[in-house]
Amino acid sequence: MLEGGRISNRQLIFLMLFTVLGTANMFLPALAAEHAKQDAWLSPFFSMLEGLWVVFIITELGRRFPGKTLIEYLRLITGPVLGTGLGCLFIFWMIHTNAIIIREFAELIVTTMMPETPIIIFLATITFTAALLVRAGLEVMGRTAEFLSPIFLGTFVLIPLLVGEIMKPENLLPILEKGIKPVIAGGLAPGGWFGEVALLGMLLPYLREPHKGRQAVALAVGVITVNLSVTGFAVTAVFGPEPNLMFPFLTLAQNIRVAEFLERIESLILVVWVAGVAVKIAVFYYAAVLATAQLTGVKDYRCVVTPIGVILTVLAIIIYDNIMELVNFVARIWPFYGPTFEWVIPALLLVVAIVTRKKSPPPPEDPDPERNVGTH
Amino acid sequence: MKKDGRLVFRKLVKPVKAAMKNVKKQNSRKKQELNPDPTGIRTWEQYELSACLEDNLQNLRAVFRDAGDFFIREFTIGTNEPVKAAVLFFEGLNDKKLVVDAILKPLILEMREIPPELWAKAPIRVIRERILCSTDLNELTEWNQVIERVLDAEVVLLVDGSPVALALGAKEWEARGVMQPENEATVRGPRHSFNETLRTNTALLRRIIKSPLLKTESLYIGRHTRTHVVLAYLERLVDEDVLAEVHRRLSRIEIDGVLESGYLEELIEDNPYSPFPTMEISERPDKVAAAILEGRIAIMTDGTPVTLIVPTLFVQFLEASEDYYLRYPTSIIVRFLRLLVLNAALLLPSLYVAVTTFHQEMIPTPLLISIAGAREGTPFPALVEALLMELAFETLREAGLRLPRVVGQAVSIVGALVIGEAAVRAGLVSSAMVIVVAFTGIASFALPSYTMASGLRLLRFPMIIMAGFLGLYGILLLSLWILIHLMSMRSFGVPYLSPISPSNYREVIRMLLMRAPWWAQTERPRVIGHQDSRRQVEGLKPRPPKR
Repeated sequence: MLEGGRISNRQLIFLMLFTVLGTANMFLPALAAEHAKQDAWLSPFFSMLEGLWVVFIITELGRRFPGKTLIEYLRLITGPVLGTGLGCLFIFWMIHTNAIIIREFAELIVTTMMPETPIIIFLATITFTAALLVRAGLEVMGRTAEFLSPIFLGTFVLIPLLVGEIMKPENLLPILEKGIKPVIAGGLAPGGWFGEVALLGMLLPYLREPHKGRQAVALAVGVITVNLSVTGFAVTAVFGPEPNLMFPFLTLAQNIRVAEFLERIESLILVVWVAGVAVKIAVFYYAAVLATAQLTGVKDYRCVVTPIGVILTVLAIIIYDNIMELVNFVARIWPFYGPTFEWVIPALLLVVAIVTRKKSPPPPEDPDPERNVGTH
Repeated sequence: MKKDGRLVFRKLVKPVKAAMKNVKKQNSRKKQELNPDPTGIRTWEQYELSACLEDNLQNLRAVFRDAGDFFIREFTIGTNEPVKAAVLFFEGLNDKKLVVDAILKPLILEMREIPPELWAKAPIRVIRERILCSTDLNELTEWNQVIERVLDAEVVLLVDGSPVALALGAKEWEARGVMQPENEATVRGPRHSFNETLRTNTALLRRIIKSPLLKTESLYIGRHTRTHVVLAYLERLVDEDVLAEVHRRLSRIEIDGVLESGYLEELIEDNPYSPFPTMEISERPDKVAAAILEGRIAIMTDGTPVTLIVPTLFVQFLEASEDYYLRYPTSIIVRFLRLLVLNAALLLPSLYVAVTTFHQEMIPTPLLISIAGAREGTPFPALVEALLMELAFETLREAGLRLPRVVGQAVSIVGALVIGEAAVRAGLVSSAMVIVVAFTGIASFALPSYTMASGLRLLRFPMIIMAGFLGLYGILLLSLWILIHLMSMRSFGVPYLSPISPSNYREVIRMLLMRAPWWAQTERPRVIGHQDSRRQVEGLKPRPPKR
């Protein structure tokens, strides 16, 4: 098997948490507020439905094909030719999406923290960091996510609390002024983000307890929803229904004033956030690397890490001319482009698998790999 | 054109390729040339001792020719029919009085009391069982054994007419006594430390753990030095896989000499390129005993007081043995302090550089004004200033370490006055930077482990450079790289960062954040002592008797 490591369900929860929250926290509040106005904090609950739907489909596929990744059962279901073609599309989607994420991240850092540093520095360094994570293997990724999550989640819980004194709850009224429709519309774009848990399809076979994967990721989706909702709530309560801010969460952090000492800590927040983004990029990167390795049949996936890293960096540079183009893509096209790969194709696969009654036997048990003495 | 180009290219490539081949050849030749037995002891393996004393002595003289400290004392055993015999030893390695009293005197003077018929039957047995008053006595029949024993400071007795030699342990040489540990001082706790004699060290350990389960396996490493290495562990508690792995790694060592446990450490560690140590070192018997009681393995090397402890986790470098002797609330506070200190030793100068160069807005205004005032007129950017000051500090530290104690004081006075006072007054560096660097230096000394502190010191320089180029983002990047590195490290199969990751929240609290009081330490660390996880019974918490 290509991946020797195993991750625990808790580690999977944190990986998925970072996969969605990594960028969602910074970009989503503005997107949701565009339609939902003061009800932006309700939108994530509708996006959550899409996330749960994706989790259902992917884990259902995982149940039919235990021990196999998305790429592997793709070929089992649709045959070698079509399967390879679809696999290539999936790899393209993973790399393309990842390049967008990397670019988003770098744009944010350049606009908010380091305006004079060339953007390529950030593109290259974060890709390099993710590459280190990928090379270290899935187990290290899971453990890194586990280690970083208290710091990451703590920060994103702390900030809405710290701005408590400048919140104006009347900003949130009236609730559901124009009915439920704008709220659902506001939940549409973030839905694509939630759908990124579809990468679970590549990780599921490497869980210690694969049958509990659905529960774990559903829990992750729940935590993400609450987190995004709280963020939306805090942003609206502080800045009003139409803030017109590019990164509302960061502006929120700028407004923190505690004890005359803790001021303007947005750089620190950004630093914590960078750690989260690194994990997110690494998860996408890992999925692409593993998919490529499985599709091409190489023995060790580490040999594809560098080529894909170079593609990612270059693609991230040439993909957009400026940040507005990027925002436009994320707001207009992503809501349709993302779900295609996140659940439309997997759902079709599931239907085909059910109709043709395709299944695969459970994989052989392997011994506890947590303590492998001498293999390093 | 194209053809020419190719030709030139080929011409260029050919000599390079030839050179490469030569290098490869040389390498392979070197490997073959490595003599597995330069001492020639193994070539003697198949030969047995001769019954004729003269033959044996001739052979020995040939083996130990030009060795001025090798002595052969020939004498006659005082039976009714005189028998020739000889004692072999190296001068200075034996207790001479013991050799005279236990070997020579009885053999020469007291043999008449032995019944002649017994003597005629089995002379060696008589000598062994009735004459020699020694606790440590072995019979040898092969040449290589004889040579090894003599080299290992034993006295060998050869008797004419029997192809058997007797080896007596009478080792005694000038050695340092058991003294106070110099590098791991404590306020409360035992005050003795290991010394350079391995037997003394194992005895110190045996005095603490009086259990038949305490095993001390012997190994000899080094083709020339034949250094005695002992693996000490508690049977049934030690992880058999880890033990087998330690054996495997030690047994593949082929080196001419092991002078210090540092040789072994670098030859058997998991991550040879890491700045972080994966083996704990200690010269305190109590610390080593505590590690063995947790299921770890101690690797003791002859000739050095420093013992290696494996497997070792990252969190152990934040522990001192004293933590477990002092009352626990104090120890808990100290643990938190060490966590802070660990971060300060790694990050403080780089944070200062990052914040003053890139993120001035993070500093509260009054502080910013005073820092700016202090930096007024200093010629260097913060990055260069920090690197210079760190270099100066490292130089001072290194100078203080190597110099004789009397001169050392002069160094510290000059260092403190010149670097601290004059440099600031001359406007070369800002006083804030001096404070930061000084505190960082003290922080790195406050860590209980010297090896860990030196690893962190090493990483401080790239950290400062990253901070100078990319600010907080740079610090985070390098920290992430270090984190990923730490995450992928293992010490003899045990994840280095456990129990932080793979996480066991109960143990994080008990091992890292807190020092649990002794009545609550019911379990051994899970990843190491999992063979027998119970350390003590429940409910040892003392309470006053009920009236």
